[in-house]
Amino acid sequence: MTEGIFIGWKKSPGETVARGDILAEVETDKANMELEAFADGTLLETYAKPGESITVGKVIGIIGNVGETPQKVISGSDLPSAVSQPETVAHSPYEPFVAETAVYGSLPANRQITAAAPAVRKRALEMGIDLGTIRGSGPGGRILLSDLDMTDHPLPPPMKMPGEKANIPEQQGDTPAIAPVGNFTPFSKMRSAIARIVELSWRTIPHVYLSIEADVTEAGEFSRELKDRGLIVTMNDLVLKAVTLALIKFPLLNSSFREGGVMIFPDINLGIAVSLDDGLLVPVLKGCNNLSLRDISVASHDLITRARSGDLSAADMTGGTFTVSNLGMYELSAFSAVILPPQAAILAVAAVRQKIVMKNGVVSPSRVVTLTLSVDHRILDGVYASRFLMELKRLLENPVNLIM
Amino acid sequence: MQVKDIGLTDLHTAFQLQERLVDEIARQDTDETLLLLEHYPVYTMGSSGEMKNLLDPSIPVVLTNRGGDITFHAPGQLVGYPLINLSNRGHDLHRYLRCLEELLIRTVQIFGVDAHRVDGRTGIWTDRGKLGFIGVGVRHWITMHGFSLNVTENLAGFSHINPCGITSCPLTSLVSETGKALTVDEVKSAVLSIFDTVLDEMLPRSNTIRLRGTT
Repeated sequence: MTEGIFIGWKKSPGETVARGDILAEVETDKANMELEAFADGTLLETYAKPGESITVGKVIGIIGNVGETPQKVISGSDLPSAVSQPETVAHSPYEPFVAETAVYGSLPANRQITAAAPAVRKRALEMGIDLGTIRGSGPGGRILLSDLDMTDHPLPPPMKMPGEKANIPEQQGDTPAIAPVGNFTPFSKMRSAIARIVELSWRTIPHVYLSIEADVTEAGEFSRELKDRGLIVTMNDLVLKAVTLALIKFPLLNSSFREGGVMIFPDINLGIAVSLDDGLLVPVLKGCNNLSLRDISVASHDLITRARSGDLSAADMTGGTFTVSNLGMYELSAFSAVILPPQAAILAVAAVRQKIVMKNGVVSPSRVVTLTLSVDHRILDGVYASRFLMELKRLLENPVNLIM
Repeated sequence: MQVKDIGLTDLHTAFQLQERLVDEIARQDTDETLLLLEHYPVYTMGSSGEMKNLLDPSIPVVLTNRGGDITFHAPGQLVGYPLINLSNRGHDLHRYLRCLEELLIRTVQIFGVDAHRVDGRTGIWTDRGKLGFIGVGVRHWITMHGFSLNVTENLAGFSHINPCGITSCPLTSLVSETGKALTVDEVKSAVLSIFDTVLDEMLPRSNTIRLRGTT
């Protein structure tokens, strides 16, 4: 969606408008959208005409101060409020249609502020363009999306590395250097989704991390014994089963923070972080509380295979209540993971590594793994999380528990 | 989510009720609401409508603030006006239209009817013609108007217009499609049985973040 049909004005030039008033109507597809004023003032000028097809980012009218004339407003540095039509960066029907009617209240004359709609600012940020370096072609020097496209190299040249030739021409004039520029690469949809989710998580969930080392020597032997009997059970499957059993005892970790409380999930649906070339997916193994070790093994291998081949449905990736991230194939001694909202915790499983440990006063070669739990500190404290980890360690070190 | 079945209602009363509810939802005094009703026979024109699509100029037409062109409502047609706060559900108007289509497609599926979308022609269609209609208005990101679904074969009123601006648009109804004497009430129950599910699936509230997959 890059354009809509302008239906008509609900206010006439000269009329006073208050924030929240319906200014105009725009139609797209079969939906009629009422545009609201985002500033108080007087509607000074209207540019869009009923029936006109208008593209995103176009200025459709101006709101300013009572008594100002549009000409004076436009020529002066005291920029008026502008009314722009809905703006969007969406192209498929499943992308958000972001309507941002416009925005700027009257600005003090002594402040140097560039006039541009939010979508223009966002695009400029993505393109690495400093709006201060652009002369806008809209009313009052307002910067339009089309101005960005015409701007090839808006910023001063990047800091030159020794012996390296800058590939961006020298900027004319005395614009101050802002920051070095590189090549901008837009994110894939998957990368964008990951960015959005971890950002939300980091901003809203106070993370606390606790680590424990489990001796999985016996679990490794157990796995080999099962293999001899024709059952392929990986270390990850043992961890998933152990996590399920531990969560049954410590249900606060299988929950979600809600304003003023916590929602504990009745089922245990384990998300399994699966890395892909360009990101990761988290398919969900549902109802683990009702699954045997063999069931978990079969179902998780199926999910992981389908995640790698791109055969997951939306239903396969929703409804998780706790997530396990396993980087066991890399030589990490330990790592920590970001909680996947709205869950309360995530377990990071590092590589199994050889270590000399003391057992009953005897030095013995062992295989150990570090498990790091990230928890939402709003819901629970370190002691509860520690007890969960100790239970998890106990289960993994006595794997016979996992088939009972 | 609350549901109000207001039965046979005139357009004006239904519009006033929608306006009041939208105000209340915007002030967070009321939950999102689904209005289910039938209209007395009436022609309505959407914001992008053209009078040439009214083939008989003697017929009075009511102008509305929904999108789309002219349409016809009468008893025997189920009308649904979901008043949904899109600002809690991703600010995505296009996806909301697809959500209403999905709702209608799954509703008629309950009666064994296979309907589909047609690109660029919002609504739902079977091989025989148009079965479900969609026209939406949005105020403060809260939706108004919604959908209508032909249940009985009472389609004569459509012969005076080019429905949705489409010349000689073939029309159909659930009764024609199934050959069964279905009632509007049966179709209401079907809509209600899936409405919440479809809505939450297609437009999840923004507090349930999901990693939606694949590139």
